[in-house]
Amino acid sequence: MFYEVLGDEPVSAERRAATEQLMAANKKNENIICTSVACHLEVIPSKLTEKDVDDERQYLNLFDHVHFVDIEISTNVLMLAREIKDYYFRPVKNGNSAKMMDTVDAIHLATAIINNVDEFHTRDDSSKGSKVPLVSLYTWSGKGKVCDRYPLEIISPESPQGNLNLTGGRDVSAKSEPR
Amino acid sequence: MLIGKDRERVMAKADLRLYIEGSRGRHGNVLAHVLHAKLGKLLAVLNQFDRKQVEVRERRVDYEISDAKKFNPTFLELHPVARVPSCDVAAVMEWTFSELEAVAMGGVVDPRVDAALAKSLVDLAELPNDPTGLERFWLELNGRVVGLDDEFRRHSALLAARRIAIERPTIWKQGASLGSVVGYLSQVGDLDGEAKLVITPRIGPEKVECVVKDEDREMVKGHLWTMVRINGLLHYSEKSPFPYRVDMRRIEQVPAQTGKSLLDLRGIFRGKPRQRLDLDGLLNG
Repeated sequence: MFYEVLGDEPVSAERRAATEQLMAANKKNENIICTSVACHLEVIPSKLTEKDVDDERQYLNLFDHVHFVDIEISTNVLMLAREIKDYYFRPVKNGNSAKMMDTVDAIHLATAIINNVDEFHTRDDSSKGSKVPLVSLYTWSGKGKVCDRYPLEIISPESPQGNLNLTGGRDVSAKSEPR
Repeated sequence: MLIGKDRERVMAKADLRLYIEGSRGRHGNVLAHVLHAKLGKLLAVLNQFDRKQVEVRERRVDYEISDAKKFNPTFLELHPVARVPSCDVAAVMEWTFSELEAVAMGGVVDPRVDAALAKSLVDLAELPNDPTGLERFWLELNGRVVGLDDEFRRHSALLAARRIAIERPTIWKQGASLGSVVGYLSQVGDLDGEAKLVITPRIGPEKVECVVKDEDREMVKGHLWTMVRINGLLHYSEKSPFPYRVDMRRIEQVPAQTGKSLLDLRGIFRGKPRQRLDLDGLLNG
């Protein structure tokens, strides 16, 4: 979701409005947006020109804030991420490819679980090839909790009426982890 | 309250029949100690169901032997009676038997049937060491039958394994790592010559104790009652994923507001190639 904004990716009006509403609420200190530092690996471009160095600095400065924070990867995050990845592994069966959760996805889920966030925000919902979807993880796995034991609300935020420039019009959680 | 015939009808519906078929080698007779052991295990299971239904410590139901016959199969009829006035024995038996049916079919079992109860079900369905001890063993409630056979034992064992995995408390890292904690520096105390602070993060742990060396006290004073980032050695226990203590090495202020928001930076990485990092092997077991 960060790259959705930073890369200015074409998204539906509903998705764009939801992101803007979350950010508007954040600006008014009505929620805390947090993400694993692993997010930076996914978001920061690989080739940096002189201008890009400044852009990168501006991006990283966003997280030096009480209500907009990145969370370090601790040993406990890694251990839980491994448990998550192991749980969702599906070996090759009936000619279908094996399924394995992306390592960074597992780190994001572990970070959100450990920090007890109210909502985990993601657009990632692909189950093609070896991918394990996130938005529909519970439907895909048939279990309503991560690893059938860790409760976590996973959503792809969308504002049904698009952007009506209504700040605070959505019931924004106190803590959320967009990625 | 049910009285007279109504009470008798409901109570009769709640009666549980235990059938046990002896082996052909013993002309259908069941070994006494096998019957005794199975009955003991069945009563233990019934008592666990009774307690789990409403999460009470004491069992609420006793069982009278209301009928018994010795022909092949041998059967005993157990008539449930309430030990406490508030107990609806018919509801207890209905829930118990429904869950036994779910286990037998490998279906969805109520979460109240925990690992301990699931293991008791495995034990109940175990065959005796003596192969001539019994041939078959099953229960009947109001015409419904659950066989306590090898399939029931396998389903119970699978349920027990799943429940153990779910109920197992997560053991977190115990030890120390370098890192940082961000939060409100809310309290200072002096014990044993050390200045002890308490940091209250906005996310994560409720509180983290901060230990500061004497020579760092002056540096800390200017940051009291503000949001700070404390870098240092983080101490962890196996009970929590969060550090319970940080030995401070450096402290810095966290700004309440930054100049720009994410939306202000819309498009700064537009068209830039994203990194392709192959981390997938990192956590493979």
